[in-house]
Amino acid sequence: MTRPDVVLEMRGITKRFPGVLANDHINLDLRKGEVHALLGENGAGKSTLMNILYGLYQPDAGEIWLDGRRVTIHSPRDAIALGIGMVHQHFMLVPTLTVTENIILGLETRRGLLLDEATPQQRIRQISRDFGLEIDPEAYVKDLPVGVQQRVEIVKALYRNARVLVLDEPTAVLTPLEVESLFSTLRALVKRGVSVIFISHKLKEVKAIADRITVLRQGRVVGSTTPAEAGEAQLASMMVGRPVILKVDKSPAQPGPVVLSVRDVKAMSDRRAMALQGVSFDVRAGEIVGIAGVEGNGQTELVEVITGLRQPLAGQVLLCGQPLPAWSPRAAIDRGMSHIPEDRYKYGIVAAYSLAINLVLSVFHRPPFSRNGLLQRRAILSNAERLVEEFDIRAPHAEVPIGKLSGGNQQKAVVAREFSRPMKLLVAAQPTRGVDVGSIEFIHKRIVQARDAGAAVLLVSAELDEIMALSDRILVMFGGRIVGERDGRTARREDIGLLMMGKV
Amino acid sequence: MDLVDVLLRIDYVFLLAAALRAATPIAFAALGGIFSERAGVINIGLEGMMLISAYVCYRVAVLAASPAVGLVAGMAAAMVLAGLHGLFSIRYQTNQVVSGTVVNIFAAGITGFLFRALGAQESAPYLPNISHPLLKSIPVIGTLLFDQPLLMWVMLIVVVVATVVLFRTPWGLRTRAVGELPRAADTAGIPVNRMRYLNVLISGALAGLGGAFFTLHTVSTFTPLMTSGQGFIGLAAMIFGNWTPIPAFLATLLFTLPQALAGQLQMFGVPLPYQLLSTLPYLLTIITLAGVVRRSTPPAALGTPYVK
Repeated sequence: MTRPDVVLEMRGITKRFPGVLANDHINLDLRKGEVHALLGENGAGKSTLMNILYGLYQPDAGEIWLDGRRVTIHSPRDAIALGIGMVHQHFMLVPTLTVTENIILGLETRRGLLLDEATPQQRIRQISRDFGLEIDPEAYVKDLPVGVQQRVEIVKALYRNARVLVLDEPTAVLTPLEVESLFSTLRALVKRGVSVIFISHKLKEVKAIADRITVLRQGRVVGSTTPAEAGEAQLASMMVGRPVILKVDKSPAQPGPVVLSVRDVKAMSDRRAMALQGVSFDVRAGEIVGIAGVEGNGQTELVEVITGLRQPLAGQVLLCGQPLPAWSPRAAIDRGMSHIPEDRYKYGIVAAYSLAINLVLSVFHRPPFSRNGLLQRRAILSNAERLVEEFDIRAPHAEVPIGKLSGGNQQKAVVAREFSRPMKLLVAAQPTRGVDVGSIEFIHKRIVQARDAGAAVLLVSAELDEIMALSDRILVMFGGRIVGERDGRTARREDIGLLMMGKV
Repeated sequence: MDLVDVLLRIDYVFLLAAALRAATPIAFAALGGIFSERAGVINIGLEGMMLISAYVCYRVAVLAASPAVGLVAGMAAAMVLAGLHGLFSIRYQTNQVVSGTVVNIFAAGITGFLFRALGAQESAPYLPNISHPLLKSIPVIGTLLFDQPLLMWVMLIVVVVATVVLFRTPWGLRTRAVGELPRAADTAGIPVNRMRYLNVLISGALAGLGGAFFTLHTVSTFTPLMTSGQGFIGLAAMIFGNWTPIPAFLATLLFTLPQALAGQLQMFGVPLPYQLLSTLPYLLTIITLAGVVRRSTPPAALGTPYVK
C-alpha cells in the first residue's frame, strides 16, 4: 500500500519506559534518495525511535515496513541485514583498533582460520573513492580527528550495504568546515539512492540539508514540513510548543576593570600531553568573553586551572589582581567565582543527593546552612524553595534526588546554586549542553543579566552559535593556544570556523 | 670463593631451564587473565581456580590412576569456578574484584576442608616429561626444551596460539572489541555477553592447566594453599606485559629468573638466607608493578558490566 518511492515506513510506533511515554504512535516515512530530518529537543523521543529502528529497543506497538514489506527488527544484526545503518552520536568505534578492523567487526572475512584484511581493504578503498570519503584503512581510530572518525562510521555503514542511513546528532562534534564536508557527503549519498534520516536539534543545519522535516515533541509527531515552508522561528516553536525568542537580547557591553587575568598558563591533560601551551588573556567586569574551539583543544584544562580543579605547570591566575592559590576550588568560591562546569555529572551535581543539598553544595559548611558542625535542614530547604521558584526548576519537591530530574532542570539547579552567591566572575563551560531549548533561552538570559550586573563572564562552548550569540569578545583556542581574538559584534562564522581549524 | 668466581661457574642454561619450569603455572595464570580481561572481565580469581584445579587433579589422578584424567578433571573444576565468576560478573553485575575474591576464598576453603577430611597420603601419578634421548643432547636447546615437563610445552604452545588467536582471528578481534567498547561490538551484531562468558571460561581452563602443574608435575601431592600466590604473580605478569601474551610470558621469566639464580648462588655456598629467596618473586612483583602500572593501558571496558 505504500507508494513506490517510499523505502521505509514506521507506523504507530509506541514505546513506554517506566514513567515516560517515549514514543506515542509515531508515523514516519522515508523516501528513496532524500534527507529526512527528525527535529526535536532532547527527550523528544528521536533517539528512542531510531534505536527501535536499529533493533536496540523493541517497540510496545507499531509496525516497520521496508520496501513495502513488514519487518521485525530484534537486534542490530537484523537491522544491518535489512540494509539499515546508523551513525551514533557517540561513535561506535574501538579506538585501539584500525579503521579496517572497526569496519569489518562482526562481518569478518577469513582466510583459513585467520582474519583476512586485504580483501576488505580493497572494498573500503572502493567505497572511499565512490563517495569521496577519504580515509586511511590502516590508521588507528584513536589517531583520527572526530571528523574523520565520522567518515569511518559512514563507510562502515556503506560497507554493510546500508540503503537507509541514520545519523544521530552528527554535527554535534564537528567544526563548521567539517559540517560542510559532511553535508556534501550526504548529498553524494542521496544522489546514489541512499536515504538518510538526519537527527538534530539545530535549526540552521536542518534547514540547510533536509528535503523534509518531521518535528517531534514529547514523544509525538507535531508536524511535518519542508525547509521551504517553515522558517527557523516556526520550527523552533513547533519543537518547544510555544513561541521562542532565538535571538539573545543584549545591550552593548560596558567593560569595567579587569577581574580575571590568566597569565601564561601551561598545563598537562589527564593523558599527560601538553594541553595548555601558554595561555594569557583578561576578562573585565561587565563583559562576556567567549572561548570558541573544537573540543579537546585545551578548553577543559583551561577551565579546570581557573577554577582550581587542575594544577598548572606554569603561569598564574589572578582574580581582581590577587593570585588565586592553585588547586583550591574553595578559595576560588570564597573569592567570588561561580562555575558552571562542562561535565554536569562529574563536577556539577551529586546525582544521588537531593535537589536541596545540591543547591548548597558550595556553601553548606557556612551559616546559615551549617551551625556547630550540624547541617541546618530548615535553612537548606527554605533556600531550595526560594531558588526553585526564582530559577523555575521543575521538580516534584526539594528532596527529590537531583539525578531524577531532566537535564535542563539539573542544569538550572547548577545555575541557581552558582548565581545565589555574590559573583565577581562567572566561568560557564558548555552551559547549555544537553539542555532543552526553553532552558537554553533561560540560562542565556541569566548569563547576560549577570554581565549587566557587573560580573565578568568567561564562556566556553563548543557551540559556535552560542558563542556568537552571547560574547562581547571572542577568543579562539586551537592546540592549547589562543590563536585569535575577534569583536563579538563584528565576528563572522566562517572566519571563526577557520581559526578553530588552526588555519590562521 | 668470591662472587665473580661463582657467577662464572654457574650453568646459565640450566638456570634458564629452571626458570622456564617455574614460570609455567605463572604464565598459565597470565594467559588466562589476558583472555578474560581482554574481553572486559577482571579475573582476580585465577589463584583460586588454580588451587581447585591442583586439588581436583591430585584427587582424580589418584582415583583414576591416570594423570591425564586428573588433568581434565582439574581443568573442568577450574572452569566451573570461572563459570560462577562469569555468572556473578556478567549476569548479576557484581563487582568483579569482589567476585574474584570470593572465588579465591571459596577455593582455599573447600580444598583445605577436603584435604583435612580426606587426607592426602598417596602420591598422584606424574604427567610425563617431554624428553628425547637424542634431542636432549643438543647443546643449550636440549636442556631448555627436551627434558622438560609436558605442561611447560603446552604453555609455550599456548603463548603462540593465544597471540595468533587474539590478533589474527575474528575471535580475537571480537574479544578485543568487547573489552574496549562493548556498545560498538553490540551495534556490529556481536553478542557481547556470550563473548565474555566464553573468554572467562577459557581463562578458567588455562588456570586449570596452571594448577595441574603443581600436583601432576612438581610434587605429586596436595598441600593446602600450595599455589601460594602464583596466580596473582601471573596477574602482575599480565599487566607488565600489557595484556599481550608474549610480553606477559617474558615478564614471568623476569619474576622466576632471579629466584633460579639465587638458588644457584646458594648451591655454590653464597650465604643467602632462604627466607629472602622465597620472598623474591613477590618482592619483584611489587617493584616491577610499581614502575610499570602507570604506563600500562588496560582494556577500556575492563570491570564494567555491559547493560543495554
